[in-house]
Amino acid sequence: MMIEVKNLVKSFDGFRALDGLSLTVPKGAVYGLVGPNGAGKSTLIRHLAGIYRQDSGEVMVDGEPVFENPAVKRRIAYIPDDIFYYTQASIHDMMNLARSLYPDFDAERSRKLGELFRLDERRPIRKLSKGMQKQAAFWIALSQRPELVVLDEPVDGLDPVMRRQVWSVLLADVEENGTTVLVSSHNLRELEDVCDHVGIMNHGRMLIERGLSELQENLVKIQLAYPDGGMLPEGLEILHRSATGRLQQLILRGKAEELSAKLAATQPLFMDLVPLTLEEIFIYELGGAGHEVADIVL
Amino acid sequence: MKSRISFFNAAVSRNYLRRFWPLWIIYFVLLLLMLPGTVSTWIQNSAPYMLFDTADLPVYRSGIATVYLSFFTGIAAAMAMFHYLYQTRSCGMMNTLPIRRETMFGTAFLTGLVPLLAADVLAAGITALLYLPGGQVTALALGKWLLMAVFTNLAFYGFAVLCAVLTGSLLVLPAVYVVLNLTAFVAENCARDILCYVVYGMALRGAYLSFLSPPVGMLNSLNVSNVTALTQEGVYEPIRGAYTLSGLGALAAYAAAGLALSAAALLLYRRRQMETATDVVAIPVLKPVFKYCLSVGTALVLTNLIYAWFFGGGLMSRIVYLPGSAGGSLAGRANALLVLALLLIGALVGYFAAEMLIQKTVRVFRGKWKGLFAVWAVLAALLLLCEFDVTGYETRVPEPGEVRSVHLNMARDELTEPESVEAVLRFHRELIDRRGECEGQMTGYTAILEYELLDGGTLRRSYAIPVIPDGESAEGTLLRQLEELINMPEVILSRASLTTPVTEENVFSASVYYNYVDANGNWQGSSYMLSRAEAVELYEQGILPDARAGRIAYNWITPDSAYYDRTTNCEINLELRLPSEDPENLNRYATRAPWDSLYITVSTDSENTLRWLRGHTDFEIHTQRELEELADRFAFG
Repeated sequence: MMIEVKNLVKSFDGFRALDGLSLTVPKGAVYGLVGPNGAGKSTLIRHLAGIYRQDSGEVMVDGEPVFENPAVKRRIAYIPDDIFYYTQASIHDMMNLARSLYPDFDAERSRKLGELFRLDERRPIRKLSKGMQKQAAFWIALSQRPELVVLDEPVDGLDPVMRRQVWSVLLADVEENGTTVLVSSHNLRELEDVCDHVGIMNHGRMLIERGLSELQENLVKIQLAYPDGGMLPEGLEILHRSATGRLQQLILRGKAEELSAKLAATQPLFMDLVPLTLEEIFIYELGGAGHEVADIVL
Repeated sequence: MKSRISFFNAAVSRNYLRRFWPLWIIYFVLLLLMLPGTVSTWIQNSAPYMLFDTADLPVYRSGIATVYLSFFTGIAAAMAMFHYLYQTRSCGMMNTLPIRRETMFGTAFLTGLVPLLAADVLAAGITALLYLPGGQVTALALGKWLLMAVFTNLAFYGFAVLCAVLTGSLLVLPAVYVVLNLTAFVAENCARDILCYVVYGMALRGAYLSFLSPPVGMLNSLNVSNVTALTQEGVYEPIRGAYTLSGLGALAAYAAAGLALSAAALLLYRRRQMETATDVVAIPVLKPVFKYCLSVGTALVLTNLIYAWFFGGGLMSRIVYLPGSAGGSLAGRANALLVLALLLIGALVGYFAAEMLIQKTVRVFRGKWKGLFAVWAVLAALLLLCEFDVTGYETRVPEPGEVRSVHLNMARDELTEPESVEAVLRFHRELIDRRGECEGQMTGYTAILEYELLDGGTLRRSYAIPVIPDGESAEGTLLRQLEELINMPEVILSRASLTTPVTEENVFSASVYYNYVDANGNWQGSSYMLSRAEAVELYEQGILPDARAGRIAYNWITPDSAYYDRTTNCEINLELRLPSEDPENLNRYATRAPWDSLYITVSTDSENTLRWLRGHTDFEIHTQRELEELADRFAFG
């Protein structure tokens, strides 16, 4: 399922949580939604899940609005950060509810997922640990055979082994069924491993939205050292600069090959191009948007 | 593509039923206690003394009691069914389900309501099985009981569902429900009380808005009574199963209103912003309405409460025990200032309480005073209008030429004789001139003057005439003037007149009660029963001529009045009923037939009445003072 959000606006008591946000998630993509606290990620996700009605703009999935559209919502699974379950309900009860409401609910898949998660189906969910509750949520959601999975901080509380297993099931779905996954997380290291698209939000707007590799190609981290009197060439877009003795570390916007050639022409004593992590991209892109990382001295 | 709109989802409904079944079970058990349980107890307790053999009376009374039960179950069911609206997590989960809002609402609404109605039907069915075959109850009574239960459920549940949609807080919901259910009744009464505190002579008729408070309106409408008849043996007995229940139509109207409010709730629910979960007011446009209504409402209630606390009287004194002395209150400007201060304080409390609830913080005092100033200005302006009598309400006395008739609360009929009207007008003017004597009186004799004017209008005023302490002279007091007024010949004639023709056929019962001091010096009382013919004769030859001359049925209200010297030990009771035109009908003197009664004391100058009594009875006639002296002689030798 393809997600298209256009000029989405949502205000709460006069505060504009989403301010003309646009986003596009291709079918079969694993889209990482990142942004600082208060950027509006959860608000966007609640629109995608059909909980919130937008003030203006469009929230479309496969060309249809999500809000008040059961036909679309039947194909979406949403796992929030803070999972809700009925106080006395067991996994079995919640599974039964899902079975009644989602026509694509796959009992065989549910059985197989049960073997993976190994949870007591009859035990009240409230008596499970936070991590086990999250597993239960994945179990129920994935049993619905959703075409779009919307996840808000999905693997919080899961142990590393279970994280890997959950992602493995999800990515298998993406691979085999073309499932689209939109995931919001502050765990950028994890997102880097699984996402092929990334959107960085800030102040209710989409700051940047690209394929992960494209994003990584456009920012370059370079370590270099100049002899006395050596200088950086003119016209570089420097996002960050730090130095230790003669050794300088630069985050530059531009293509690696072009920048490498340009810097080599200044004859540095030493030059090395280092791949950027998603976390660094996040930090330095936001730095450009007024979110400089302060060097705090205590 | 959007799916077709459905108003029910079985899976969600099953889920609710599985989770909240104790609610309906408890309701059903309470119904069993209320209906078959009550009927059974009633039959057991009444069996030995039963004059008639149906238990329809407890059935009807149980039906009226469903007003109370449905009031609570309505809100309980709504809280259970719409619980998910009040938590961000649950609200989110329920709204991600592939269900349209209409379906979600319809499912919650029906799942809450249908088991309640099913319990009603089941309780009535069980009662029918137990008591219909034996004839202990009638099908008509059970049917009416069922209608009462169903109507009250529809009314209260519908209203509760609307409240459920208006708020985003589960804790606030029951408070909103109770407050809105009683707002009209409480606000109207408080406003009336406050008007009476500050406007001299203020007299308002019955409550106009009570019907907007469903529990009050329902209980005021519903009434059950049994029909009685004079049997062929001449015994006065209730008729088997002949109970009348009134107010079912009003209940049906409340049920219809409940359904209409549910429809309104659906419309609001469709537009509801789900992020309002945990908000006190979930509909943004209603936030200012809530704020100003709470401000004005608190002003009215708090003023009434504190005023009643210190001075007694008013609605609050009738609802809760207040230590307020009933002796009086402040008068004049001081009184107005007190009421104004209380109103302003109440408005302030309500205004900022509303702000705190809306904003969910106690830090609401900065920059929020403009709205409060507006409320204060309106309240102060209204109070000043009253205090300075801008409309001339307090000083208005109609001219004699304007008045068609006047009614005094101590007379039965309107007074139309020019002398009587002029006397009332004189008294009215006196009350205005001597305002200081009456102001601040919370007790005393209430004189209600109600003029019917020639232009078709009416003018009604009420004054509390101060009582005169024992031992003080009543000469020249307002109370003495009132006493003279209510003993004018036309007023006496109105008190002694009957609208039902006094004929032998219409006389239902008639007696003369007299008291006396026996040989041991004890006060005793006895009745002389009059035959129908005697009653008619006494009325025509004694009471009526004396009443026309203004010599009977005096009303003494001052302590130094001529009561003891001019009142005899005789009291005449006369009850008239219009029988059915069919003499074979057992229900000829049904209690609901038009009836009339007379209760008058005979005075020493009631020449015609006394002559008749002396000629037809053998008991001794004395003045009250003579009897007192006789008793004293025994007591003190």
